[in-house]
Amino acid sequence: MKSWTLKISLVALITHVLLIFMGPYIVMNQLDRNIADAIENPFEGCENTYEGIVGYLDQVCISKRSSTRMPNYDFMYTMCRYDLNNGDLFVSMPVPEDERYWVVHVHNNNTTVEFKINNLQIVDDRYEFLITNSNNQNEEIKTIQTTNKGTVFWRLLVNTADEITNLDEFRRTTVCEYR
Amino acid sequence: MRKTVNKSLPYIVGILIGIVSFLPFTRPTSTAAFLTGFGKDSINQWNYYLDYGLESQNIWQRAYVSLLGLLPSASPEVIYLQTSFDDGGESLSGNCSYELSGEVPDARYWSYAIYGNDNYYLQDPNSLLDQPTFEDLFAQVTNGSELTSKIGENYIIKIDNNLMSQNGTLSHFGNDFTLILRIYGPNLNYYDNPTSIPVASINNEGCK
Repeated sequence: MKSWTLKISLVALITHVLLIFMGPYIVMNQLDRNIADAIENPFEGCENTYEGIVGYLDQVCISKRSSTRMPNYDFMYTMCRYDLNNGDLFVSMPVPEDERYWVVHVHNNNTTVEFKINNLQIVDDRYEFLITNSNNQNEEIKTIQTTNKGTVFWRLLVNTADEITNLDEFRRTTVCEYR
Repeated sequence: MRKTVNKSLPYIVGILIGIVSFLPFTRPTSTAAFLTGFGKDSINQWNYYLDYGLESQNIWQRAYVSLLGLLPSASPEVIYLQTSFDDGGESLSGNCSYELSGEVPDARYWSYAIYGNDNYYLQDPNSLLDQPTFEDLFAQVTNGSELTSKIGENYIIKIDNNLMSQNGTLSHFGNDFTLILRIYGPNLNYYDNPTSIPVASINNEGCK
C-alpha cells in the first residue's frame, strides 16, 4: 500500500510539472497552428492578414481564433512569428510620431519578454533591430538574442473605428526578413 | 491480465491526478490565482496585476499567464485591473445595468474592456452571428479618448445590453461578464504604492 501511494504521488507530480512546464509551448504550438490555418483558410474579410511572416491582425480576425483571449479591442496588433533556423531576423517598423501609444515586445518561445521598447523611447520614425540566437553582437544594429522560435509583437492604439484604415496602411510598411 | 492491471494502475492513477491538478491552470480559476499569486493583490473588488510578464516568474505563473492566452506586456509598460463583482459583492450579470464611476489615472492611455467569464469576446445571445463585427467589439471597449484623458478628472461609464455607440459606454450583450482596466504608461509611483491607483466603483442600477 505504501509503495502504491509513493508511485501514485511520484507519477502525479512528474505529470503535473511536465504539463506546467510545457504549458507555454502548447500555447505557442496552438498559435502556430492558428497562423497556418489563417494563411491556408482565411476567414472572410481576413484574406490580407498575412504578408510573409508578418501578421497584420485586426480586432475581428483575431477574435475568432482560439489562441486569442482578452485582446484589447482598441489595439491593432502586428506580429512576426519567427524561426531562427531560417537565419537571423531583420525587423524594421514604422514608429508613430505623435503621442499615440505604441510598443513592441520580443517574446521567447516560452512567452517570456526578452526585449521591449515604446515610441517615447525612440526618436526616429522607424526602428530596426536584428534577432539572433548566437552570441555575436552586430555593431551596426541593435541585436537581440532569443530562443530559436519566438514572437515579435506590436501594439498600436486605435482611438476610434474611423482611424483603422489609415493606421493599417501605416503599419503595413513593417519588415520581418531572414538574413 | 489482472497482474498487469494491478502493476499499471498506480501509474494510470498518478497520470490522471497529474492531469487533473494541471487543469485549473488552463482557465481563470481561484485555485490557480491563489497558487500563482496572480489575483492576490486587490483594491476594493479590483484585482491588480503590476507585472504579468515578469522575468522572475516561476513555471506555474508562466504557464497560467500563457494558458490564459496572453502575450503579456512587461513592467512598467502596463498595469491591469480586473473584477467580476459590483460594489455589493455580486457577480456582474448580463441581466443587470451598471454605472461605473472613476477617476482618470496618471498614465499615457487607459481603457476598459468587457469579456465573457471565459475571457473571450461577447455577442448578443439572441442574435448570434458566426463572427463579431467591429461594431460588436468596439461596443465592448471604451477609453480616454471617448471620455476624458485629463488626469484626476471623474468619468462615468454606463454598462448595459446593446449599447453600440462609441460614446463611453460598454455593452455586455446580455452575458455575465468580467471587466478589465488597462493603464498603459502608468506613473511609476503606482508600482511603489499600488493602493494609490484610482479604481472605479460599480453600482448595480437594476436587473430584469
